[in-house]
Amino acid sequence: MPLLSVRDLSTAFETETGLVTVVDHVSFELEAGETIGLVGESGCGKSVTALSIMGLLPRPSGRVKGGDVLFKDENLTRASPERLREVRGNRIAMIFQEPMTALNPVQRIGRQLAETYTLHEPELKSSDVAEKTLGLLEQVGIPAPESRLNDYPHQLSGGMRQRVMIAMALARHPDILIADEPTTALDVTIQAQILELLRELQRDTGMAIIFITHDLGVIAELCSRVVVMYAGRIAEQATVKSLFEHPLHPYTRGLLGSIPRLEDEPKTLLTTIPGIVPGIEELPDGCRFSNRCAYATDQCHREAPSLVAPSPERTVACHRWHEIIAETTRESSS
Amino acid sequence: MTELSTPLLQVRGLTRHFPVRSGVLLRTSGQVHAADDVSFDLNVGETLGLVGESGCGKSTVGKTLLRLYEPTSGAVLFEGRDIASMNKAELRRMRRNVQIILQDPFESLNARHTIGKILEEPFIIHRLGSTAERRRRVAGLLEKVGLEAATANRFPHEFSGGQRQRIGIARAIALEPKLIVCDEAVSALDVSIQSQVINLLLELQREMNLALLFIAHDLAVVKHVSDHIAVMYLGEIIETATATEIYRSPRHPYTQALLSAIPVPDPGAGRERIVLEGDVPSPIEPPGGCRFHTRCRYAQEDCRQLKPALKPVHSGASVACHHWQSLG
Repeated sequence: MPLLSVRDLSTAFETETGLVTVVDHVSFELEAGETIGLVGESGCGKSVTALSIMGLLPRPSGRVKGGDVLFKDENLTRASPERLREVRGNRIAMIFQEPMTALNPVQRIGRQLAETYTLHEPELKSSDVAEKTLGLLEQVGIPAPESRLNDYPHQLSGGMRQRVMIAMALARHPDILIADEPTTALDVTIQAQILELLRELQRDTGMAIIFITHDLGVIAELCSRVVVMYAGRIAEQATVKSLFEHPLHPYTRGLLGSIPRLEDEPKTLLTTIPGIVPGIEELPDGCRFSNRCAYATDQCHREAPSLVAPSPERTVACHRWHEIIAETTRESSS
Repeated sequence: MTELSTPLLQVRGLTRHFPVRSGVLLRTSGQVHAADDVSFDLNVGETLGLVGESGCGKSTVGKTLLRLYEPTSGAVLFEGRDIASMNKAELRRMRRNVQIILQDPFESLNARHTIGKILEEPFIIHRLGSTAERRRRVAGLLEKVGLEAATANRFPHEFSGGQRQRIGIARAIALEPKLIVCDEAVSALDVSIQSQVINLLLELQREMNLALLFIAHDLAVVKHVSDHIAVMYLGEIIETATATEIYRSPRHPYTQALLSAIPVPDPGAGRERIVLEGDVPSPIEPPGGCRFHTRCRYAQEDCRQLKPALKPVHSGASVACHHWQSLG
């Protein structure tokens, strides 16, 4: 049984023009100890999916319209606010792109970390709390942690702040860490440090990670499986290996072709996806990618494709996946 | 008259420090060494990529070139003429030939003006063409950057990030400049839009024989658009080479680490990852000797004491490292 199972999740926001569905029938599973990636461009619904799982949608405008989030058999979409808070504090933790949104700017680092213990384990002696807090900072690789306990968040660099946020998330030994673009604002050498840290922590603690990013490079380095989202729906999901070797959805193929690669000849034209991601209120009928897709037929403009499974470990939402498979097989054999 | 062999742009020992003020009297208590002794050439129609992490001084160099900042010392020669000695009229002529595209075009587009008015402005400032002719040229510009002529009547907020960057590009090419400084011009865009804008820049460069100074933190993007690359660290250029050479045989340990830190969209790549320890030191008091020595795994005693000069390796490449030859 998977640790987390998201089934037909739909999330909508109340806007001036009515209810707008931003996550539409999204399903995926997460096994204990594995890392999956949620990837897509701005506005594809990847962050809202995470917030829906966590029960952290902005209120009152956002709400889960349908579907289930099963965590160890418990349906989180039906859980009481108290129970959700308990799960969030202890079992599922989340880190964000900008740690300053999660850290209190006027409280010292040490005190903020200690709070996770004093709140959940009030019986702990203060000397034990101090020791555990120090241990956390050591665990996330903060040099000279004793001297950092009295720092305020603004005194730390971006990378160090991200480490502190990871430390807070780990304090209660969660089963799942949801990481929403945690390295996007960091320099590439600092990003490499944080990715390395997450890998180490996962090895040591066995937690599962849902890694949300727009960067397919990060997915390839960190994840074992990947879910590609486009305009609120899942386009394709597969193991990282099969997705990068044989992308099936035309959107995935376009996305992979658009990335400038180090081994490319300089100053050659990149493959592009024509047009822009449609706004959530101007989505085309049928397949949402149909207005940008080179493979689109009349059927694609009419009917939304459902997710089908070309092989046991992958699903794709495309009417023409048969032909694309045939094409890629020809390409790779020639 | 400039000779054909003169580079379009010559930057010589360009240095820009920013004072740090503190205390009640705001006394100058130190200097941010944003750019230190930066030198490079850029030829007509070519692209130089300036790459480095936040705070390395790459944007400062770009802005000092346009004299948006006055240099603390050093010289910038455009077509062989020192821009520091230019009078107002000359400076205006120079700026017609040197344009800039910024990361967030929204901040540089007047929200109350239509796209047509925004794009017409350069022609008005430089007193070019009649009203009818200006309109015609605006329509031509929009078409050139892949937007419909009818968009001239719309306002900046009606466009997506990628479209706004196209408008920023249209404005930059309006006066047919010889050089465009692209300061993180594609960094904020989604991958599928980024590739469209990169292609547009490559096509315009070919068509108009533009020189580009392409400033960005993403080495894969920089490598894709550049002929030559200069890598900066803490205000200094530490390595230069052709784009292909930087990728195939990086010489400076920082360049090597930077390359190896880029996540590659290929799960089978299995590369050796050099993870640099620690953060970039403060540019207010940069480390003595080689500025990279605090994070360099090869650092030796002389690296702490003695600053390595940027020395030519061969005609097209240079490196500032005492030990590059023994690093392999």
